[in-house]
Amino acid sequence: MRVSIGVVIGLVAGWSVVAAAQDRPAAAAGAVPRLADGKPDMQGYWLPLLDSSILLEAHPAGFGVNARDSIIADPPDGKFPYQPWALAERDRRRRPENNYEDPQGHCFLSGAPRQMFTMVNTVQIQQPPGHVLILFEYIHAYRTIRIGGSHLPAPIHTWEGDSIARWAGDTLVVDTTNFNGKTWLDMTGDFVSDAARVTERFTMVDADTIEYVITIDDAKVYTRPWTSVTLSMKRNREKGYELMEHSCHEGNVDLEHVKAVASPAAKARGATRGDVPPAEEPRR
Amino acid sequence: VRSSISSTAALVLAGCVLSHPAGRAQAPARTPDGHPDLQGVWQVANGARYDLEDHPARLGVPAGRSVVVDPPDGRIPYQAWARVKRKENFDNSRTADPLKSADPLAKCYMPGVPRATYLGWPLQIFQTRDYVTIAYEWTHVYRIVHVNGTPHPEPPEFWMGDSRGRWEGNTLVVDVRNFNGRAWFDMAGNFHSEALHVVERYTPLDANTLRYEATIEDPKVFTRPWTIRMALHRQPDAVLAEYECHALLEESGVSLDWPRFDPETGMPK
Repeated sequence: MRVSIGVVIGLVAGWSVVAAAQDRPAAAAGAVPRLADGKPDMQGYWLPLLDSSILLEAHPAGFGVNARDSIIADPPDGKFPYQPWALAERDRRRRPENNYEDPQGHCFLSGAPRQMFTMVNTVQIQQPPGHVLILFEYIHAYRTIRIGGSHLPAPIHTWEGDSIARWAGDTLVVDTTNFNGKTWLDMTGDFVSDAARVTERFTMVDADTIEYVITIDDAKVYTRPWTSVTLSMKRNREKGYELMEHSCHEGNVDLEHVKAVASPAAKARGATRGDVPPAEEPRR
Repeated sequence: VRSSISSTAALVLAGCVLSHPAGRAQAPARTPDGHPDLQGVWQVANGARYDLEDHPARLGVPAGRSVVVDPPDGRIPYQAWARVKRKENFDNSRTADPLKSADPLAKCYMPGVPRATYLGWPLQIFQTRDYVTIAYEWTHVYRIVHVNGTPHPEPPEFWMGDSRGRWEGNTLVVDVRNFNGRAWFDMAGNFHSEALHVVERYTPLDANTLRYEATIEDPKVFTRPWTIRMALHRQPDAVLAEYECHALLEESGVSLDWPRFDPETGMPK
């Protein structure tokens, strides 16, 4: 089932619940396919890692929001290990009147790993020589991950980050740096700085499953690195499936709406986006 | 096409043999599938982005020769009404305020095809068995050229169209349809409708040069098909970076919350 493309409001707001067919019959998936060089062949179409990227820490269900455990496995409390200033900044961003700041609302590139958490629709992986390409329908983003080589010079900072990978056995380990310090991790203000170093591990465990673990170190924002639980992407086996074009910026009407909510008049009426689950009180 | 002028002395000194005679493409490198290997980072070095036709200099814009090779006069074969419209487009795009410009690129909208090729920003070509994927640095636009025999889908229409390719000898031929008709060809107001049909041809001339041709057909706007041709130059050791146009537009002080649709008609503005 395809989510309609070109419909910007729902996608930008991220409220759309992706109809990922998680309840497929449990047919035994085949062995990991291999490229000519023996590396796992991850090529094809893959369903989203998460059903939403609204809030990555544990949260109850709300309107349009599924309840979920934290995606953070370490630290064990499931919380981002923020430095005090960064926690205050995160909480500031969470206030409804600051929703306008979310870069995704502007159709800007999400950066790793939020890009991976915001697949919305299926993504396509290609493995041309020397590269792993991840093509997103969402915001027509792409990641060109180079196998080996060195990162761009530090002054060349980017939204998406600059990704270099190596194979560790059957695991593709992707190292991403060169962030511009403007990207968020979810819709509720969690963030990284330009000092972030993102390590993603893609491990194909059968023909239809890629396991995904992420570690982020950021000395400016966190007190220690954090690591996710093991997430997984399932292959989209829909016959004839292809990516289509998602023109986000070209049809972006969301900014107008968010700005209206953030206006003093709107606040006087008590308007909020309403369906953002309330931020839990900091417990640290 | 490569010049035939080569210094014999240089060849002798280099102790090498001229590997491709004048005017003839040398055998290109091949992918494991046996197709020409077009992979790498490529960039134009011409002024097509300003105006596809012959044009004089204007402030910030160098004069340039037409890249239209057919018709032979180098002029785009507009229908009469469309030539008037093209001039209106140009006049309405020379505004200081990007939001008042008629050129969709001023608002950082997707450039369309073939404009994405010659914007002047680098692009990178990737090849696998079933796809030739072209990633453009300009606002992270990409195209997946299906070379697996699949047909164009029914609509919807796209800014960048829908691309299906095939190999003809050493040439990648890409058939592009399903355009939304909102993109332009250049900064001179050259335009098309949603009936646009583009056939692109990518031919390696040597290890560092691709010949790019695009034949453009649009019976609503032109009197006949026409063709542009230019070279794409390999950028050795280049890595595609990022040009997030609308983010840079916002940084320059332009709020991105302009109305995207006409409230009366519901049509895109």
